[in-house]
Amino acid sequence: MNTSVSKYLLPLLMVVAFGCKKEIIDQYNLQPVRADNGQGEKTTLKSDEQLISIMHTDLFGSAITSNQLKVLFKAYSSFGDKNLIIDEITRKFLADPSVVLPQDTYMHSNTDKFIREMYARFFIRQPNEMEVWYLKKVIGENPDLGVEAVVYAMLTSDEYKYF
Amino acid sequence: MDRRSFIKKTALGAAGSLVAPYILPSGRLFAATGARKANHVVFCLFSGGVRNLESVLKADGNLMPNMLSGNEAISTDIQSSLSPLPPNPLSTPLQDEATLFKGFKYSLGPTGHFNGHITAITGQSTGTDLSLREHPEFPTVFELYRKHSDPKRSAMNAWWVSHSNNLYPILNYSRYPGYGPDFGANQISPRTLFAYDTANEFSNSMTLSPDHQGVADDLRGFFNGNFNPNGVEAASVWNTPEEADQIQAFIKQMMTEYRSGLHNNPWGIQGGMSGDMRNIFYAEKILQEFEPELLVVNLFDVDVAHSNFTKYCQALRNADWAVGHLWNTIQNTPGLANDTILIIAPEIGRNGTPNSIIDQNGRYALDHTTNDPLSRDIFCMVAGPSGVVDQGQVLSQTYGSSIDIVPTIADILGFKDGIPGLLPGASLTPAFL
Repeated sequence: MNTSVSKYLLPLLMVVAFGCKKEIIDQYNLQPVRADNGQGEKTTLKSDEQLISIMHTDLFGSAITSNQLKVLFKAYSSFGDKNLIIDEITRKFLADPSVVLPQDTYMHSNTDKFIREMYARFFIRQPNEMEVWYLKKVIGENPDLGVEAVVYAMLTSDEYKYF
Repeated sequence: MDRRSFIKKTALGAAGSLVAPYILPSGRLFAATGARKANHVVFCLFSGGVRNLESVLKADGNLMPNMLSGNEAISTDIQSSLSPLPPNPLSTPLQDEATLFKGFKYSLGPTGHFNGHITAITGQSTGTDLSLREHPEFPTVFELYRKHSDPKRSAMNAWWVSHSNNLYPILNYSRYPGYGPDFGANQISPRTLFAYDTANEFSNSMTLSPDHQGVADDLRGFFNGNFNPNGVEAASVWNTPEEADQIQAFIKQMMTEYRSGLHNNPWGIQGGMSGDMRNIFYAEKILQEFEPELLVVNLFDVDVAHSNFTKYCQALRNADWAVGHLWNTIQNTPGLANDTILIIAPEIGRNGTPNSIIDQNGRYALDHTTNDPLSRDIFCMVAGPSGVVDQGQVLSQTYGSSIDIVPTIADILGFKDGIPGLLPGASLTPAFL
């Protein structure tokens, strides 16, 4: 490429690339949430209703009905130890036969893939190598462990409470 | 400095730097626990606004025969409208085992329910700037009890049984620095937790084998160890894993019993149990199951007085019957019998001047407004074992106010001296021998 052309082309490209920024119109006053937050960047606590409704969507692939959310939120508000009541709600969801989870055999035969899929699904991020190593070790050491136990631990963890 | 002296001084300095952060303002290393008058306190917040005229002054007869002595006949119009109740749970009125403060006051602050509740539970008066969305400004009795008892008590020992799910659950802990959820109460609203829709929602629950539960707990610990929230932390009262297991088992048991119909009308009340009765029923279940050292339960049905005076009288009778049942249960529960002090007080009174709503008997309804002096007149009853409580005593003169209840509880449970100058009130010492 001619030197004089490249001399002017590069600044022009930079102006095009960085000079214009699309204006974001917050028309619906939605809370901006990045879908791929790393765990270190999760700083926003889910509201009580968000926690319950997101858990439902994550487990069943469908939105919770307003009536069920109302009932579960009533229960949530009725007891002061929120970890305890979230534990109960999680167990209730996981006991539902319509919950959408991989088979136990899949977890034990495709452990690496299973771990990455569960991290992406529930923590909205990819696990680091240490996390993969640890979970593989635990799953490998417990051949009769079910998927529900792993998912239950993820859903009742601190990280799941945050965006 | 010789070697021996150097080592000694270095060791003392190191020990001092370790211990210094734990020295209390009083100069003691640990909070002192004074002598206890009893090992359990149940505070029945007879709330919803109760006027002394219908309670201890018996202007319409003795509407509270389980709590108050006397056979004063109930006014004919009211009597004809009251639903019958089963025989009184107590063979003698609670007053015979209590000191009754008839001239008790809600001295300062607006005469609203939330203000009254906060004053009764924190021992602090409130103003018109009270936020209905925030935990109280000053430590609750639960936090004071848990933090200043020696040794510190777990949440399993402090329960707040809230009648409704409205504003009241947030009274389980304050936002006062150094206190908060780590010292809060196990709050429960049984009427909403143990209800038809919630009990059905929780009819199925995943259970893990003990081994797999252990693996899941380890995994959660691993996830939590890898996560550092840089923002707002989730605030909640918490229980130890063992205590949480016990509470979850209790909740499951209550829901199972509810679904099977055992809680439909266990007291055999004609027309069904009132909301206050149900709240007391579950408070009794908690007392029987966990024998907590401190339990506060509130009632609320009497607030119907805003629209119907006769129903207010019925609600007073129902609540009185439930309190009698509560005391009977306490005296029949090993671990609580003869070692429990029951404190009963309304959070606020009601107006001397009625509003314009007339009920079926031509009686006017009653609000509670700050500028009406009768809305500040309340009573307080302190019942407990002989040898501890001055039983049968009645103080008719003005004595005590609702800011004195928290210091009284602190006095009974022996943690009063550990509280660092936070409470403006004083223990109701005339109640005790």
